[in-house]
Amino acid sequence: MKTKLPVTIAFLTGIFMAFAYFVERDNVAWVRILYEELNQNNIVLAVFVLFLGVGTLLIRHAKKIRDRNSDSIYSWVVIVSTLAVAYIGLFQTTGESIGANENFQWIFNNFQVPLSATMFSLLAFFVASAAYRAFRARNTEATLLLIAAAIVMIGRVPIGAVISDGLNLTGSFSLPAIAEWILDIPNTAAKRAITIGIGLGMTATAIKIIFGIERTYMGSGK
Amino acid sequence: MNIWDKLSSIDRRWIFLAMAIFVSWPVLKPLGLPVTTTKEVESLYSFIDEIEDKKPIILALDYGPSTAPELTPMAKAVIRHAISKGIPVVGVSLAPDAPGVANDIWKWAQEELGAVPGEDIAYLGYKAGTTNVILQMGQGISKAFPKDYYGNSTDDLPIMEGFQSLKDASLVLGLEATAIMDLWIQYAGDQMGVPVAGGMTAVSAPEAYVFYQSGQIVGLMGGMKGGAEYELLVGAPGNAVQGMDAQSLGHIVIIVFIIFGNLGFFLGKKGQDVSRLKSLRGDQK
Repeated sequence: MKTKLPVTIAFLTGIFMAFAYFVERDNVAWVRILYEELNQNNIVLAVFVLFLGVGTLLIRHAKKIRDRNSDSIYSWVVIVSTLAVAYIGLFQTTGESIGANENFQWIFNNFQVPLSATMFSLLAFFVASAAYRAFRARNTEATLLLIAAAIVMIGRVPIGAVISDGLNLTGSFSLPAIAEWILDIPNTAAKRAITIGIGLGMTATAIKIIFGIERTYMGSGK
Repeated sequence: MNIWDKLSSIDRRWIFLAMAIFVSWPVLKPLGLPVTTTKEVESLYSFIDEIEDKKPIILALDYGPSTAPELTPMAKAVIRHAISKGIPVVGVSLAPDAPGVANDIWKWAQEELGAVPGEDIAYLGYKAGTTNVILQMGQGISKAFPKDYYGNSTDDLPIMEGFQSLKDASLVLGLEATAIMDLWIQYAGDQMGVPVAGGMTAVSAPEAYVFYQSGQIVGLMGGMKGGAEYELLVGAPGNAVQGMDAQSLGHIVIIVFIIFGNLGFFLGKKGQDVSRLKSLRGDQK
């Protein structure tokens, strides 16, 4: 029963959703109603996933504090900030509107924005350092990658046009035009191949789940 | 250690310093490098410019503060364009850290453009469930978002008159830092037949070119450059145009250090050792 029930639910739901995708749902009432119900249930499940994520985060950090881990100060920061923001969002919100809660926006603007901006802006420095160390023209493939990357990096910013003018590279031979060509042709060809491959892989996996061949989503069963 | 060896082993703190100087300098003293427009951005601009029935544009703000410098200029430029044409803009978010960013943009639109909330613009907030939220918006906007971010009943907003479902939108513009763009294309575009366009971070944008070529998106803004192009097209240069000088010099710094690294590698002792090893292997074969 522990195996048969989930496999049966997966089979029926999978077959129905695939069927509903190809049917003119507005003309077939039962398909539309069932489809909308399943959709709504999925959104409810997504909310539970958020709870699961927050719960797991808190439990993990509570364990670190209990074990007197040397980094437990950071766990305190995580727990206190999570609970403080949740408290403000849940209990200090006037009416039913989170958008009207100025405390919430204040925390966002004064904590999350500068912290995220700092983390992301460090990328510029680390990308420069990593590119300097790793981007070596060791073989033909690496050389091609290096040349393409350099052209796209220069061609996609205004200085690319200035350099092209300086070198008298015009029309299709200007750096912006070559960068556009790289993005339009080789990049698109590779991306299309990868996308089609992923699509086929997803279809195969979905079929395996629907027909109960792939059951790892149920866990080990212990 | 000769000069070539030194070039291949520069202390990374010098790289950080060079990057800091060359990125800060044009911010303090703009160079005014010319920004040219690309066909992907021009086609998005033309599409919005030619919307005649004044049906709302859905602006999907699916990004947080880390990518805001790249994507917020796009949002502001498109809102400016739409409001100037009398096209309402309805914002939604499928990323949990987006509402804080969107809230600031909506305030800006009211203060800077004089947009009337509920009539010219509306922000419906964040909802978990990505794919399912898009599908539910197809069944009814107020079904997915019964209230807007500010607590007003969605159905009571004047902007929602005649705008019952996602299918009634004139365009879905996804401003994305993640793979949510694919979902808007698959479900809003391919399944519901709504025109879709994208504004993506520079690292994600190359993935969307395939959809532009196939006609699945009507336009594409890539990175800060895409935002700068749109700002120029609407005739209101802003943060993205200002940022292009810094980005240009930042890229130059990276390229210069890559060249240094390669010169050091090939002309220095280490590179010559590798070449010698390769030729020895060739002899053995």
